[in-house]
Amino acid sequence: MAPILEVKGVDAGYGKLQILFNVSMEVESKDIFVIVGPNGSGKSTLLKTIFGLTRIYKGSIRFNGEEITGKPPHDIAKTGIAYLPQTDNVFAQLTVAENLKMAAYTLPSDLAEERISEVLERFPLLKARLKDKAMTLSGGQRQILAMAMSLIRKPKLMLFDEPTAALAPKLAAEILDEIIKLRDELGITIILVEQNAKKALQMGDKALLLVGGRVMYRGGAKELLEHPELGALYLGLKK
Amino acid sequence: MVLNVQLFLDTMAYASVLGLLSMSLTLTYIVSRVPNFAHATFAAIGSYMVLIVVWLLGIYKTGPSWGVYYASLPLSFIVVGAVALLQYLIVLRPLAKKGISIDGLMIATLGIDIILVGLLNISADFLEDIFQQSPDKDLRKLVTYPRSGYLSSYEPTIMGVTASSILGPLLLVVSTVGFYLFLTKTKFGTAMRAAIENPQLAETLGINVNLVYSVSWFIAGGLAGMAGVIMVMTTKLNPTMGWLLIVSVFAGSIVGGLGSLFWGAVGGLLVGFLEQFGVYYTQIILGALTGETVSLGNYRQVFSLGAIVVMLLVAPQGLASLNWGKILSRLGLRR
Amino acid sequence: MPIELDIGTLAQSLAYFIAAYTIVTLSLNLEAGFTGIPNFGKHLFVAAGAFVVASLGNRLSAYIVSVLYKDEILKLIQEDPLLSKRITEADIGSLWSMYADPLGNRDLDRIMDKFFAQHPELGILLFILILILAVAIGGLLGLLISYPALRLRGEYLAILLLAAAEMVVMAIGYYWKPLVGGTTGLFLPRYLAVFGQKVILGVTVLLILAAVAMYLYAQRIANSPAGRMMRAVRDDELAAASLGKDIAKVRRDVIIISSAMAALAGALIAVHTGSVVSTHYQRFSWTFIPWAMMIVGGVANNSGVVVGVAIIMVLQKFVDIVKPMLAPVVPFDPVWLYQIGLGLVIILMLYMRPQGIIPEKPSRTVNFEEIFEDVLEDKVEDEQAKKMIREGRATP
Ligand SMILES: Nc1ncnc2c1ncn2[C@@H]1O[C@H](COP(=O)(O)OP(=O)(O)OP(=O)(O)O)[C@@H](O)[C@H]1O
Ligand SMILES: [Mg+2]
Repeated sequence: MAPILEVKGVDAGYGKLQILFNVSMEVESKDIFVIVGPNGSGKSTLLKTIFGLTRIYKGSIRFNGEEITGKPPHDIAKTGIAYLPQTDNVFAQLTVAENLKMAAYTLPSDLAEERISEVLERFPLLKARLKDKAMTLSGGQRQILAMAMSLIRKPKLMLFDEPTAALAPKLAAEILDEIIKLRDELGITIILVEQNAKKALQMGDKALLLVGGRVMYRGGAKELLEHPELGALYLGLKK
Repeated sequence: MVLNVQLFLDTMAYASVLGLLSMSLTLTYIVSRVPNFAHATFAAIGSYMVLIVVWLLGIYKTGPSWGVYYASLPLSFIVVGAVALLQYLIVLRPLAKKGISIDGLMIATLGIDIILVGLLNISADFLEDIFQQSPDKDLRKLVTYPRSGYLSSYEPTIMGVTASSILGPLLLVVSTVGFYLFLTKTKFGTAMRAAIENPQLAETLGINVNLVYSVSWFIAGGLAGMAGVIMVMTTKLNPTMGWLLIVSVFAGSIVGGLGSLFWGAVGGLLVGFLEQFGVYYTQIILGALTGETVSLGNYRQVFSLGAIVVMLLVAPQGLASLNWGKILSRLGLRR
Repeated sequence: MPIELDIGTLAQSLAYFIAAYTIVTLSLNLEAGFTGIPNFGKHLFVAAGAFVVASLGNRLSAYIVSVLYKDEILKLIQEDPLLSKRITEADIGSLWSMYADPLGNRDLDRIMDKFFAQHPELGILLFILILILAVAIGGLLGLLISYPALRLRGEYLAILLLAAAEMVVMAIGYYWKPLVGGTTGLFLPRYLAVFGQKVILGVTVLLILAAVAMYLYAQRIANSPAGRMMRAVRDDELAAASLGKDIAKVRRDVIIISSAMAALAGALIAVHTGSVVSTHYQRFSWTFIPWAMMIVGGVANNSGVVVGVAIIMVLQKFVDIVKPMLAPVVPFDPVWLYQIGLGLVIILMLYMRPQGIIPEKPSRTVNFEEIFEDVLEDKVEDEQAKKMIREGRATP
């Protein structure tokens, strides 16, 4: 089967500042694909590049066989990719209800309402907070809201950038469980950037190790976890 | 006399003009994060629309008429809205996209101000020519108007009260309430708040951020233009009439905190009253002290400058940032 | 229409404008270019210099002269058939107060002109005194402004400075006649009677000398440790925190020096023109144009500033020359086209070449090690301690 996402020899960065060098990767449908690497190695940049938020100098990105290189983010969103940024992934000044409404912005209003009630069924805790401003939510609730917002458009591929950053371990585990459920129950392909490499690699199918904007490892997630050197060298994993 | 009704009415017109201008200036600041030094000249363009209406509709012959407002309010809304939109689309957006620093963007708005004043001056020269060479005796009388016209003689009165004293506050209330409803009750208004708070996220959700910002600039310009229509009833028409006024407008926005439209409107109103009544009472006090009549109307901006300094040093986030609940209970107005 | 071109006059006027704008734009560049202080009220400081000369300087010199040379002044008045009718012996003590109205201004200048013609050395002395006064008050104004300047974010400071400048120039300057005679202005006596008929040329030469001196001074500041520190802080907010106190002091000094420079230019302009009218000190002439010159020439580059000044001044002179040709063709005053053109130039420049014609030299910018060394050299006496700090074993 052809991969759902294919990144080929991509050089990308911000303005004239190149961050990614000749990055390639293939993501199979319904996989959890994990991207790990030290701080500042370009993990977020890689996600942003897939979503059209950086400048691509070279290479190509194909999604579902369709060329999406150089498309603006709102067009890429329409192809079925959702991106959850590392920070500021909800509108803090808007209420939960308004946030969901904005997530359904491009849908016709009856469909929008249907989808909103669907995700509220999935995440009942949001139902109780509909009238509250998003800034009053806790960190974990905010991640849930961000997830709910992306689900409204029924994406086929979701890009998560450190969804558990700054969360207590128990909450973090809950969020990661939700992500696994998204794959298992809804069949959504996941690309996950995680600070906690061990947890992520345990739940992942395939993995990519990025160091200094270059690919150092590409292959099975468990294999990376058990790799004799790479884990210790770059990810702070004990041998 | 401690309270002066006519002064109060005049102040209502002037203060609502500042309310409208400070509110619309705040809108452009929230959207583009640059103080627009051309904003008061937007109002001046609106003021010129009144002269054009007075001329083209023949109001200079017939005398005071509601036509002044019927025609110039929508006209100035559209014309000045378009000017503001162009400023955003042609100048500020491309420069911001190139990563020009805030200093660069500010000097660009000063440049736009110079350009607009230049265009107003050219228009004034044109109008002077047209009026002077007209066979119409009444029109020839308008020849001094483009550079120093008092257009208040063409505005109607309602039960002895000049229309601007009523229309000004009305316009301010309608636009504040209208804005509130628009921003909270409509999908596009909500999208506007979303795009202002986090443009990147809004973009990824399919909100056309550029459209939202363009609409904001257009509305802000339109409001400034309508403010200019009211304003010209309280002052003398001149191409550089915005240059000193900008002090008061910024004072209003800063008092409001440059972060909320509602507080921008309140800030402008307060500054208008502060200026007018500050001047009035200072005149009375100085007059009593010196035994002469003192006229300080030309120095009203002293109070605005004072408001800017005090506000920036004491509460740089403006009135919007104060804890009103606490203040009210301290004052014994609320338990 | 024939155009008369007097090359001598043209060159002289060009030199005058270039010199005056060089001083002002160099001072703006010290603040905005090197230090990141967006002074949008530059015209206030230029006006301050001119206003001090016209209001304080005029009165002070009239007072000094009428006290020290009472008899001579009295004689001058009595010799003049017109003046002797209006001024009596009893007025001598309060001659200075005649500057309050336009007629008195004329009368007094007549007396003073004659007096300075007889005592040119005294004219020079008073001229120097007034210049010092203008520079000192300019510096004080800078000190005053430095309080908000050290506390406010860039755009708030820009708003405050622009508002203050408009207030002083367009409200007080225009309407409060005792200051500089409102929109009719005040005339100055001919302090520099030494130059005889060539006063304008003389003052122009003085301005050129001042501009050269200011250029050398600005270069020295830019290349000093303080200058390096300023640029580093402008470019990196984090560095500001670590260098805290020194930065505040250097920033304040920059504002004071720049304000004094602008006031010096304003004072010399006043003496050159022989009068002060507040309408000449508007935002367009003394804030917008200096910014335009800086951006065109090169931000944070003194030589760039000079180039920018020259380009825009030549452009202005060119417009002055073609204006009479254009006037019959276009149905409006061509000067507006110049203003509109300048506005466009600024915007296009920002778009196409924001670093200016001569960009800032990269080799001389941020080098934290160098700055660190400068601070260390400055603050720590003990060699041993220096070594420890360098090796990271102790904090300064
Ligand atoms: N918007 C930007 N403009 C310019 N450079 C950027 C931008 N965002 C990130 N960078 C730079 O790109 C490099 C990679 O950053 P990136 O955020 O992709 O790393 P990361 O692997 O996600 O790190 P972290 O684990 O800290 O999230 C860094 O050097 C960073 O400074
Ligand atoms: Mg990251």
